[in-house]
Amino acid sequence: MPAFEWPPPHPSEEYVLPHNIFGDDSRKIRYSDVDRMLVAALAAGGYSAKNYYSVPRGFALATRIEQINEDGTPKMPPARFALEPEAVSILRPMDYLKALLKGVPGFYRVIVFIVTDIPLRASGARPTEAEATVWVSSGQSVLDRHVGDIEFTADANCTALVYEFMRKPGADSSATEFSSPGHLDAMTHLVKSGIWRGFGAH
Amino acid sequence: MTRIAVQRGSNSRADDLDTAGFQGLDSVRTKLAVVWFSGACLILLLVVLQTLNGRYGDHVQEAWTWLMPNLMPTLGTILAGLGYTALDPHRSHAMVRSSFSLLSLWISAFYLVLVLLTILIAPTRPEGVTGKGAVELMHTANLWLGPLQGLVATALGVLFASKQKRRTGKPADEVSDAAD
Repeated sequence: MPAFEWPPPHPSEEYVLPHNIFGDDSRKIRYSDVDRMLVAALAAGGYSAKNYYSVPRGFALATRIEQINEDGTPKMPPARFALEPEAVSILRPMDYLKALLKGVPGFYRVIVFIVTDIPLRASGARPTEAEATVWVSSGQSVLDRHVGDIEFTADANCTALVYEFMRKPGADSSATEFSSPGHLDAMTHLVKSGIWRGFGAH
Repeated sequence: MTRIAVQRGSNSRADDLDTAGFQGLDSVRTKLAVVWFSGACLILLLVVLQTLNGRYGDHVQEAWTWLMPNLMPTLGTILAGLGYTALDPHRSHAMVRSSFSLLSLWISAFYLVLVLLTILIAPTRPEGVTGKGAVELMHTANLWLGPLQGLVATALGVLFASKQKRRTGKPADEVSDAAD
């Protein structure tokens, strides 16, 4: 698997997923089990495209960059995975007036799950939207078997790194900037994206 | 028009012409000025609000560079025409054919609506959501606004900028108008 930048770029927000969402602590599980649950949760949130990367003693799973609403919910397709701003319908008068007078801000999100037993400490690097965009295309589509066989011990963690990007109202689509801190916390992102529901935890 | 002229007790040549599908030049000019200044004020106010709110991002200057040539020459012509006669104590009795007056009013209104629509429609187009995209739409609109502005300028030029022949020692209401 291609290597993910290590330490990972500074995220807008991060959240360490509790062990119990991957099952009973007494049961021995492997990275492949964690991967299966992550994939199921992502599918519940409508994420079909994802890429795997290797990280020291583990793996990273990156989602495709998506366009979201201000409250963290994904835009409706096809706007969701399109980077171009979404047009505003005149049938939504308040949204239209806001778009007419102020312009429409753009919010974009990439979530990277990192599963490793090495304590995670992000670098100070701030990713660009262009870098985040290729995270879903430069990795590997499946998890390597030898990585999947690693046991998910009590020392291991699955950390969700949320990378948020924002385009100011009126700004060009290329003028998207990394947001740190994010305008929403990591847990809100996980809930609003539908991923959290996919873990079966509400 | 006939009724108004009678109420004013005027028995000049204008009364006869009113009944034959003519309108007073002053009245036509006033109507056009109202249409143009109210339309332009609305558009300018909208773009000022957009500018102050950052709607055009880094493309503010381009937006105004598009807007000003679309409004100011005609507003200038109207203002100059009104200003030219503002100090004249005599009411002009020059007449304009109603059909030409109506045509000028409709072309003006149509033109202003198209300018306004160019701004209003931008957020509903994916390419017009960003400031850059909105300005690109404005430039596209020049394809039809340019020729139409030529028609507007011709009509308003006749009504506001045509020279009136004056008879020496006679009041202004005894002149014939170029549009007449």
